Amino acid sequence: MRLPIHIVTGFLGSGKTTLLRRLLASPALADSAVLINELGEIALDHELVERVDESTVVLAGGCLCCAVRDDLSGAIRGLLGRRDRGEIPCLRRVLIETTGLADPGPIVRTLVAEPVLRHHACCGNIIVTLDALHGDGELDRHAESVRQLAAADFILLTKTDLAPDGRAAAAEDRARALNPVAAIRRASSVDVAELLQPSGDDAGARLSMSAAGELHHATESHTHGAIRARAVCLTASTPIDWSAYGLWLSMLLHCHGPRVLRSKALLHVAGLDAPVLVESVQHTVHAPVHLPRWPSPDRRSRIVVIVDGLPVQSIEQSLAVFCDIEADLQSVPSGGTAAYS
Amino acid sequence: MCALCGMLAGGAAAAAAPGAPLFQEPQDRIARDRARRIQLRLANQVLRYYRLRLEPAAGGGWVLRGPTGRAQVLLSFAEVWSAAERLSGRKLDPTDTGLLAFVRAERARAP
Repeated sequence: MRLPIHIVTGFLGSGKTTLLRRLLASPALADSAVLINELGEIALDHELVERVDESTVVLAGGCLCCAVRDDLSGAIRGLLGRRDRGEIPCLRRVLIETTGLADPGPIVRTLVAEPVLRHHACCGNIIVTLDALHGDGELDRHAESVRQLAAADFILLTKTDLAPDGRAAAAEDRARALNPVAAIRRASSVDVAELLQPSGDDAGARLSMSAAGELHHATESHTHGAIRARAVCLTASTPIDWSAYGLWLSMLLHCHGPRVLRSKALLHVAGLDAPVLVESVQHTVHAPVHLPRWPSPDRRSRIVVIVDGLPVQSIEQSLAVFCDIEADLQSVPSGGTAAYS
Repeated sequence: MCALCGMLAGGAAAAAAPGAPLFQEPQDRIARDRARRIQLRLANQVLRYYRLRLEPAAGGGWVLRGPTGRAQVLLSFAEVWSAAERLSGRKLDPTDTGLLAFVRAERARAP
């Protein structure tokens, strides 16, 4: 079984290290190794993670997503080697704490494209911290924060105890509108074990909820700033041709990969009884996962694409033509998308 | 890994959730050949807009031919879009309204 590698990210000061300290104190995270990436030449965060031992590796002097990707693959290969030699007797997972400015896309690509890593390790969940007090402003001003949230499997609201009434709920609404398929939890009360679960079934269930309109979507639009992210939510009731969807997604990512921040699709594939979950982060596509069953009686395909600056209608029309489902494709529901900048 | 997983993930860029079952390659040759034929037909509906043609290569892989007769051998389907851009000298954009109208017309003409 391949070693799951979870990514803990979030904007500067959003509480990643505090979260990591809490997670590592949990028995559910015994047998974990931690890679901590810091921007400065003098690493500090690892001093704050209490369990600094042979399973903690510091990657300092540059950001994982751009400067030290070779260090990342080398560090993971080093851990795998030490596990195989018995120097780390039990290694069940690796947690990477990124810098606050990291884009998760290139990190995921490193994990799945590097030949040794992809045979011995796999991408786990992307866990993103969002400061309930300042997150709103960070999303307005910093493209990095939007990219992190768009890539998330879990969004953890931090500092909710410091946020005035309504501020945490507003941050949650905004996060949900930007990434309708991520699970949003309060960091102070999150179930640690849940964060480590493979996302397949849960993601399918969240996509079901999204299509049923049970998620609340913010409708406000912000028009200034460096990035314009929008979640496109589509459903189709007729089964989708697997080849056609693959052709469309591969061409879309080839052309617009950096602007397709995230996609998640629960597909009713023609000829299959159970759904197939297909996910991507920017250019990187995860291998499709067969879910054992539909998470709800609703058998429609649900496709969520989070794009940066691409017109929503062009995505919808393109998918409709490629998959030949023009008459069947529907946006979900009005207000199901939200623009950020 | 099935033909489509190969196309989606490009072979080299695939990861699965821990413990999750992967899409299995069709076991019988008939199913594999059928998947490849569908992939070829759909890709050529798109590539014709750029005056390109994709053909299966003997023993696996693909051959992409350009309008002037230039050809490129591809080991996997994941190489198609990059090669098509090199041969056509154009950016291949699936949201291009001209391309979408062309594919609709191709479908309408198909028997």
